[in-house]
Amino acid sequence: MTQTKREAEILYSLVEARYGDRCTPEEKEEIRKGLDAILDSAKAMHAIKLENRDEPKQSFKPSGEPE
Amino acid sequence: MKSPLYTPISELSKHIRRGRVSPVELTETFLDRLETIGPRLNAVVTTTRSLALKQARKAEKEIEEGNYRGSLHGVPWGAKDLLSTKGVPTTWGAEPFRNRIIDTDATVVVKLRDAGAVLCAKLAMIEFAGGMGYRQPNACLTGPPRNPWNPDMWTGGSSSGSGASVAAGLLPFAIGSETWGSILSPANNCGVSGLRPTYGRVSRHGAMALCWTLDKLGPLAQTADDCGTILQALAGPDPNDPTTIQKPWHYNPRAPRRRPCLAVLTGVADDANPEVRDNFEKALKTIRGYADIEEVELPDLPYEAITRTILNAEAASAFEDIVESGTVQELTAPEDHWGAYARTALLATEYLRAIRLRGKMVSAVTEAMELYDALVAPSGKKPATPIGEEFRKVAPGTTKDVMGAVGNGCGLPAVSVPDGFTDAGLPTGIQFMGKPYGENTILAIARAYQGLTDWHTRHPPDLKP
Repeated sequence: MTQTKREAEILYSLVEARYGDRCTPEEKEEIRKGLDAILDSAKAMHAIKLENRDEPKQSFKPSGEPE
Repeated sequence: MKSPLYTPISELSKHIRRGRVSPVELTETFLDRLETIGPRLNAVVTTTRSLALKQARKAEKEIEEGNYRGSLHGVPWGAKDLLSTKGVPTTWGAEPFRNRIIDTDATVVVKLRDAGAVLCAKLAMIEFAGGMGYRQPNACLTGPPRNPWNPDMWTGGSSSGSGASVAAGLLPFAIGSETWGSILSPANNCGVSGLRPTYGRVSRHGAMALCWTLDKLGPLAQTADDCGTILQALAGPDPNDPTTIQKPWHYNPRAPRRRPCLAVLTGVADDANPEVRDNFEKALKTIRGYADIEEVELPDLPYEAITRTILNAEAASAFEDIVESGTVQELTAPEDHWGAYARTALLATEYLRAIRLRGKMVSAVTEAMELYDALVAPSGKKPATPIGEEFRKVAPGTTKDVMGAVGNGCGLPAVSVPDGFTDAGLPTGIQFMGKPYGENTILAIARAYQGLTDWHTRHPPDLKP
């Protein structure tokens, strides 16, 4: 089993534990495909090297005004 | 004047100001169409007749007394049903919320009311703006949104009723929202003009959140010029939405002083439907009459993966209570019952990686667009698809859409205008995507195109006055 497949199985177990009782076998198969797509995106993103200085493009500001 | 249906706001407003058109009569005309044609197209959730007539009477009195507020005064409009409206249901397109009232007015509703516009309807939309991963058109509490050009075809989504109501002459303009494609898709499929503003240009306060860092609100109307007029009324800072751009925005309807320079991404139309590609090539030929067009390549980055991961993670959080509570089981589209489950397993580190890579994406796109006023591309890869068919057979995010990923991921404005028809009589569209804050530039380019073509003056033959 490939690393990606193993990860997909682990993530699927989480989804199954949360929502498995709500889904048919066909729907579960579609959820697996959705997880594959998520992991494909992750793989594509991991191909790009990030440095420690590469901060999230999202700002946080404490509330209030500086003195 | 001739019939007010399909009359651009630029012209309609002149007649209203001069007292040649009564806002009350105008409102009644559009309310009648909303109530008769609207249900045939599944375009309307709620018609706000009494509110509309009250606003129209007020507008008429003010104008008669010489208190003209501007180009939208007395002009009817419709709101995508994810905009909160006091005293009127706001359903988010979802059956479980059919009778839900959020007792506040969204900022855009307040701004348009202040501009004197007349709210006539809450318009159909895909449930949760497509946030549950729908794959086919029957994903609205009002039924599958039917295309005014051919009711057996789809309007596009998720601002489906907004696109259909403008194309069918049920309203002069409508407000839609876009997280990824939800204004450009119905503009393309319905053959109308649609403007996705720069992220933060228009306050999202009072609008359903699908993805906080991708959601934008914008107009759909007859022309790019009308979109500019409407955006001016919508734009501006709002203390209730800290992401709003603090600088006010003014529409500049003048032609640019210099010849625009546009770029086409290499291969951007290669996988498009042949008729879409053909219309796009013809449009480029027309555009070369007033602008330079060069080919450009973007650096190799996983654009779709970045934007899709951001959307997945934020939507998983935004709708967590709806998913956890089992409310999704009551939605119209069967695939929306389980479509949100997979992304609840998305790791926080992957989301953070996506928003760190977003910085690289913004830098790469800024550099690539530096020499150009806009990127130009087909608005959609295909024309409207059949109402009963899946428009995607795979999980969202597995299809290629660099323009959508880059445009929405980087918060760039884009305007879509019609650029032709297929042999089956379905419209196709062309989009001009600008730099951040560059709405006036892309609107000028789109206006110039509409000045040389007549696609935007064509209307569904069965629905003409």
